[in-house]
Amino acid sequence: MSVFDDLKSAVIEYNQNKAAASAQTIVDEGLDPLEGLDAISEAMTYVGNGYSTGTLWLPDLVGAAGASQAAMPILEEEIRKRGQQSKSLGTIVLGTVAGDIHTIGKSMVGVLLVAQGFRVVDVGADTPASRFVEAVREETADILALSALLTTTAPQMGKVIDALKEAGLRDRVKIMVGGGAITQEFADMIGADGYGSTAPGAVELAKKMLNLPV
Amino acid sequence: MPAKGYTQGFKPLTIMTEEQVEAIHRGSLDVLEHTGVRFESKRALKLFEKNGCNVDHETRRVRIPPGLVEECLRLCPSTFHLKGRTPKYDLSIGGRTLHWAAFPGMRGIDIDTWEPRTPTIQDNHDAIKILADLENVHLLPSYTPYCELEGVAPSMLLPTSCWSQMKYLRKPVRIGQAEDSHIWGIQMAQALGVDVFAAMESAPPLTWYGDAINCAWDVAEAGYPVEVGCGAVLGGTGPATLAAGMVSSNAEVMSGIVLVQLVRPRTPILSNAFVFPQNMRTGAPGFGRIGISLFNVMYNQMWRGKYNIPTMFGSSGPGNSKSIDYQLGYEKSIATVLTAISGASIINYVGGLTGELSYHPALSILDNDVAGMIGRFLEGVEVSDDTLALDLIQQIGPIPGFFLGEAHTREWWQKEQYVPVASDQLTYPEWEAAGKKNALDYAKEMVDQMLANYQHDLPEEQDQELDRILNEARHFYKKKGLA
Repeated sequence: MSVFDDLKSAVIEYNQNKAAASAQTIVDEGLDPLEGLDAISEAMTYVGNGYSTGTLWLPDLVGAAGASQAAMPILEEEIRKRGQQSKSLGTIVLGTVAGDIHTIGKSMVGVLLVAQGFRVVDVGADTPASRFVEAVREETADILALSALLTTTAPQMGKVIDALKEAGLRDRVKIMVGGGAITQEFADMIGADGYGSTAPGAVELAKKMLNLPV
Repeated sequence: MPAKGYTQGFKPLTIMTEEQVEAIHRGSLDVLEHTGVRFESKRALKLFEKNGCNVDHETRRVRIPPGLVEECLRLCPSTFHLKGRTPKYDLSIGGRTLHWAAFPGMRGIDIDTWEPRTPTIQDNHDAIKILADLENVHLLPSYTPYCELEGVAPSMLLPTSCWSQMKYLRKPVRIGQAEDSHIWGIQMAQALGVDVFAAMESAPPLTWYGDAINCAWDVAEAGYPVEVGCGAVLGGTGPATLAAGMVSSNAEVMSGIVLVQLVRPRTPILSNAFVFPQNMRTGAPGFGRIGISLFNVMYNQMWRGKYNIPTMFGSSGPGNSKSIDYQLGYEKSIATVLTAISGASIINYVGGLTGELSYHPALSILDNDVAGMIGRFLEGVEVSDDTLALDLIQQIGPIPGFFLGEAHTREWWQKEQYVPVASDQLTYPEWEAAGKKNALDYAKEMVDQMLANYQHDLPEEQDQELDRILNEARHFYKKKGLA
C-alpha cells in the first residue's frame, strides 16, 4: 500500500492525524504533492458520492473535510516550493454574510465543491462585505458563494455585491447565493448570477457558471 | 377570571430517574463554573463581575459559581400573571396549567399548490383575527403568524408584527429580540395597558449575543417577564446525545436566568426549549423527529419538576411536510402530546406548517382542535359521586335501559369530551351529500366565516397611538439606514 493510498484511506476514515502524517511523508520522501492532492480528491469524491446516494451522512462529509484540510496545507506548501501549479476546476470564495452565524449550509456546499475538484476558500460566518471583497481580489476567485439563513441577514448579500461593484471586481467574478431565506426572486433582485437551493444544486450551478460539464 | 388553559389532572410523564436528573443538574453547574458562557455585552460582563463571577473580558467568557446559579433559580416565581386586553384574556402561567400559542412561519402557503408565498400586512392582520377568536390560542410569540411581510424592511418586521398583534389579538404577546425591536413592543404594551414578555434566545453553543441580552435587560427593567430560551440542533450546534444536549442547553438557559435575576430579582421566567436533533442529510433541524419528544419530556422533568419554573416549547409546532397531510399530522401531534403530558406550561403549536418556513390560517383552525383534544386529555378523569352515577346505573339497569335521554347525559357528555369543530364527523351518506368534504375543506370555510364575524374592538385613540409608535420605529430604523 503506497503512502498515497494511506492518505486516501485517512480521509475516508476521517483520521486527521493520519492524513497530516501521510502528507508529511509524501513531502519528506520527495514524492509528487500533486499526486497527494489527487488522492484527497478521490477520497472526497468517494465520500461525496456516498452522501449523494444516501449511504453516508453529514457527519461523514464534515469528518472527511476535516481530514483533507489537515493534509492539504502541507501539500500546498510543497507545491508552492516546487513552483508547481495545482489542478482545480476553479477557485470559489465561500462564506456566510455579516450578522449571520449559521455555518452548516455553507460548509456542506464547501465540502461538495472540494470533492468535485474546486479550490475553496472558506472565509467563515458573520463575514463583513469588505472581507469578501478582499478574498475575491487576493484569491482571484472565479466564483463568490454567499450564504444566509435569516430573512434579516439576507439583504447583506446585496451589500456584498455593491461593495464588489465599488471595488471594480463585480465583472470578474460570478456570484451564487443560497440559504434558508433565499429565493430565486431574491437572487434576481440583488443581481446575483445564480441561486442554489441545495448543496448538490450549488455544485451543479458552480459547474454551469464556469462552463464545465455537469 | 383568567383564560382557563388546561390544568393537568394527573402526575406528569417523566423519563429519567432522580439520579439521572441530578447528573444533568450537576453537569450543567459544572459547565457554568468551568467551561463558562460567552456574553457579547460589556454591561452584562460588568454585572457578572460585580456579582462574583469569573469574567474573561477578552474572550467575553463568564464562569458562574454554582451557588449564584442556584440562588437565581430560587428567585424565579413558579407562576405569574399576564394581563390581556380584557380580563377574559388574562393568563395565569405555570403550575400545572398548559396554555397554547401559535407557531410562526416565514411565509404563507398557497393551499392549492402548496407553494410558499410572501404574505402582505393584511394577510398578517387576517391570520391574527382568526387566532384572536380561536379558543385554544391563549398568547402569541413574536413574529407570529408570519415573519416575513411584503414591502416591510427586515428591521421593521418585529415592530410591524407586534403592532398587528396589539391591534387585533387581544391576548398577551412576546416581544423582541432583534435590532432593539423590544423598545417599540414595550411602548405599545404600555399604550394598551397590557403585559408582554421578552424573547431572550441563546446562540448555541453557550453564547448570548447583544440583541438577546439587550431585549431581556430592558424588558425585565420595565417589569415584564422574560422567556429565556435554548435552541441547539443536536449533532450540530449541540452535542448529539440527549443527555449532553440537555446539559449544554440547561447551562445556556441557567446563565441567561442569572443575568435576568441580577438585572431585576424575581423577574418571572419562562424556560424555553427549541431543540431538535439534526437532519444529517440536509443539516436542517430534524422537524418532526422523535428526538424532539424525548428532549422535551426531559426538559419538563428538569424545569417543571426539579426547578419549578414554567416551561415553553416550540419544537413540536412545525413538521417537515410541505403540505397539510398525514405526515404533518403525526409529526406535530406525537411530540405535542408528549410535551403536554410531561408538564409544559406553554406550547407554541397552532398554525405552523413546514419548519419555520410556512404558516396557514386554515391549519390554525385544525390545530385548535388538536390542542383542545390534548388539553381535554390533560385534565384527566373526574371520579366523584356525580361521575360514578351509581344511582343512575341502578335506575337504568340492563337492556332495554338507555342513557341518551337522561339528564345526567345532558349534563356531562360535553364536559367529558372535546368536540372538534373542523373535523369530518359525518356518516358516509351525510358526507357524500355534503360534497365529500374533509377537515381541511371545513377549516378553509371557517377562515372566511371567522374573518366575516371578527369584531375590531380596539378604541380609536389606542389604535392611533399604536400607529404613532410604529411610525416612530420606522423613523428610528431609517435614521440607522435600516428601513
